[in-house]
Amino acid sequence: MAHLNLHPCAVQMTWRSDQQLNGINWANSLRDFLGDLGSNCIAGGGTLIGHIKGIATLAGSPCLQLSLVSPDQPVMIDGSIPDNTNELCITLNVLVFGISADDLSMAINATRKQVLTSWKGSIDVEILPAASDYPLALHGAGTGAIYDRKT
Amino acid sequence: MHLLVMAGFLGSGKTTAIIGLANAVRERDLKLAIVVNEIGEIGIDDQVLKQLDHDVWELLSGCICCSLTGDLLQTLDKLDSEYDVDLVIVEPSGAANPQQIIDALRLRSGAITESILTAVIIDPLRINELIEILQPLIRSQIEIADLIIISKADLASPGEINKAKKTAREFNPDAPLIPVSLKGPLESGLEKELLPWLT
Repeated sequence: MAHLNLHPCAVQMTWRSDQQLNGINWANSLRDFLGDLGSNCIAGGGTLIGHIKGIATLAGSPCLQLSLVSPDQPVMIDGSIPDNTNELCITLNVLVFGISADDLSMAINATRKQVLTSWKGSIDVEILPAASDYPLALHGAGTGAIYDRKT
Repeated sequence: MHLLVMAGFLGSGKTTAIIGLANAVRERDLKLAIVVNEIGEIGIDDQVLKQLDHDVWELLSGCICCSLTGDLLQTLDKLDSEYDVDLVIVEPSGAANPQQIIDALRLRSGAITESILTAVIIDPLRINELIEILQPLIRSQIEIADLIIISKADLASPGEINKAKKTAREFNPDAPLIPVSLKGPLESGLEKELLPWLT
């Protein structure tokens, strides 16, 4: 099942716009990013998108969720970004089967460059690969850490 | 304490379904805890659920059907003994085998083993692709279900929904099968199946 190996990857991004954008423009740009990322992951060797999901936060509060499960399906968006926003933090969990960790990083960076051709501003990206792979047959062998984050 | 395991492959709509159910449970003044197991280093689902003021316990960096089974049981024990909750919803990662989770839960003693319900969510837009690539996992998720929820009914065509139903029935001929859109409040079909079980 080598083609189904999974290298879970989290991505922390800070998007800054040179101008204050309305919420719809923000959502469209993020939708484009996720769609391009899905296509680039498959072009980079991925066999199946498990889930690429994300959350946008504004001043620490989540405001928008993003989700993509297939390059053939639209990016789903839930929530809204207030108008006149010029900076957003985005966290993504990228779960794509069959693509190596290196190729996944390349796909993420290529997507950033692609979007920057039309984005007026900056996009900082930090890629956080998982501490371990997630071989599907074994269902992962993690650190066993338990996080008590009761709200 | 009731326990609902909300299984289903990655991206099938588990978190969205849990939000609808959790809001409905809260409206009935029942005390709820949600245990989320995500693949990856950063939890997204827990942030979404916490934003809605639900009590969320997060298990990261492993899978509750194997490497984190002990942590899951420990968390459930704690919820049972210290927090007096009415319902715990467990959201396994989309790559988890719920059979292994249920086996582990049934082996332990205590009140919660008396009332476990396993629901599986199927994405009708890609169930056939998943069956082709990941049949053992998808099959095991469907086979164990007491309730089969077909999500994205607002996006799928009637033909796609019927195909998903047919696939589900191949692996599980008996479980109630409900197509829902999962957007907005808990839909009546799901409410009818889930809420009487809780009360």
